[in-house]
Amino acid sequence: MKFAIRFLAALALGIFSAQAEWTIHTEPTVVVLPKKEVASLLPDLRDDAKIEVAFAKIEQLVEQGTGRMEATLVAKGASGTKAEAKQVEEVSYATEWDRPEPVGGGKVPAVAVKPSGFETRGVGVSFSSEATSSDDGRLLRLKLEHSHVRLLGWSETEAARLPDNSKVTIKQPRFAINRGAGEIAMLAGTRTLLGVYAVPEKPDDTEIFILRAWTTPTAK
Amino acid sequence: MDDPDRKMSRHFSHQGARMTGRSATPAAVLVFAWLALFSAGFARAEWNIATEFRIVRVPVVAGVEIVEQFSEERTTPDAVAALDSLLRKGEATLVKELFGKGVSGAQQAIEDVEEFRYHTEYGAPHPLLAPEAKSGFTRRLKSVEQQGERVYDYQPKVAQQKTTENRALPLGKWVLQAFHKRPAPFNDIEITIVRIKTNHVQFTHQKP
Repeated sequence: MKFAIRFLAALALGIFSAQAEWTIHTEPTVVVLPKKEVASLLPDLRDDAKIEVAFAKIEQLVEQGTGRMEATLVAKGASGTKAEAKQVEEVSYATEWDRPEPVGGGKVPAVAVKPSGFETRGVGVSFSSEATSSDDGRLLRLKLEHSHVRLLGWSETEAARLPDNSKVTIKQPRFAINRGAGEIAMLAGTRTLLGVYAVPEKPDDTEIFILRAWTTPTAK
Repeated sequence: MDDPDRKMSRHFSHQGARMTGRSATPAAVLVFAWLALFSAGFARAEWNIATEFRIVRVPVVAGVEIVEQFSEERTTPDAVAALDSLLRKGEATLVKELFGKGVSGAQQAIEDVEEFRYHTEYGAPHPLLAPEAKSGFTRRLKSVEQQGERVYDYQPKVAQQKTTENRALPLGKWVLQAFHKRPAPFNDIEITIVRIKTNHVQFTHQKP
């Protein structure tokens, strides 16, 4: 009986000493590689047991200039909280306009189309993670959203015509978006492949998103 | 969605209950040990499901034959081989290839899109420079005569190919998810195939 009590006390002590709060670090890497290189790397990238070997090869390709690192971000937060990281450039564009009005007194045909409403879009890589950790900080469950928004260019649409039949146009942006959202499980200290996408206007390239996540005990 | 911790908890409670037929003290110790190990994260495991999508554009005649082959499990490998062969010969186009993963029971979304912006609201047309000009903003889907030419404000003509289904898929094998004939003037078929794989994320207990 005494042995049982001592055993229980020791076990309880062990449990409570093992209770820790964890900070979860997430590090997404976005790389663009030639499609043929990705095709040979994909079997290993999809296999969590072999992804480190494939990632080392990717780093090599980037160093050689064969691949291009689009972004490496780090977001960290306590278990159960949301962390975000982004590397974007803001692009503003008009979405509403006043009625076109003639300007310049009528001698020289001219018209003003004044914008009255704008939107702003972050062009670049964005990442957010809401992660929870097991009590010992080893198994992670992450709700993730990642995206890469690219500005492809501007399209012109007609807003009005002048007496000489020339067109007055307004410009609108064209965006391409690679985006993924979902919930994954992974072991702390490992990498996993999040997504594989086409690269707009570059049919010979492929974009891949890889995530590394690890935990550190939160100092009290 | 069930919380995996709760599932695990039910499992261990059941194990503990079965042991109550033995002497009281060892049973209590064992039950406590089970719960302790559980609370420390022992033998936690999750399944990730990886999904690969491939959209291949093929000529109509070849496409119809391939779709037919996909309809039976026995001839599905032939269909996959035929698609690969057409791609290698340059007679088919790989339109999209996507990969994403998500934990079992959770929704995952992957998209690779280009945004196309177009007007949705318009003011009333009005003369800009009297008296010659006759056009300003045009109303949606209406046109204004000007100097013998019809002036349109363009609205997009969008063709959407969409399939929604809820089905069980075999692991590790390509299966036909959808096929669509592209609208005129195109004379081809887009075939969407999907393959899923699982991986087990698991570890044995180790003190941090």
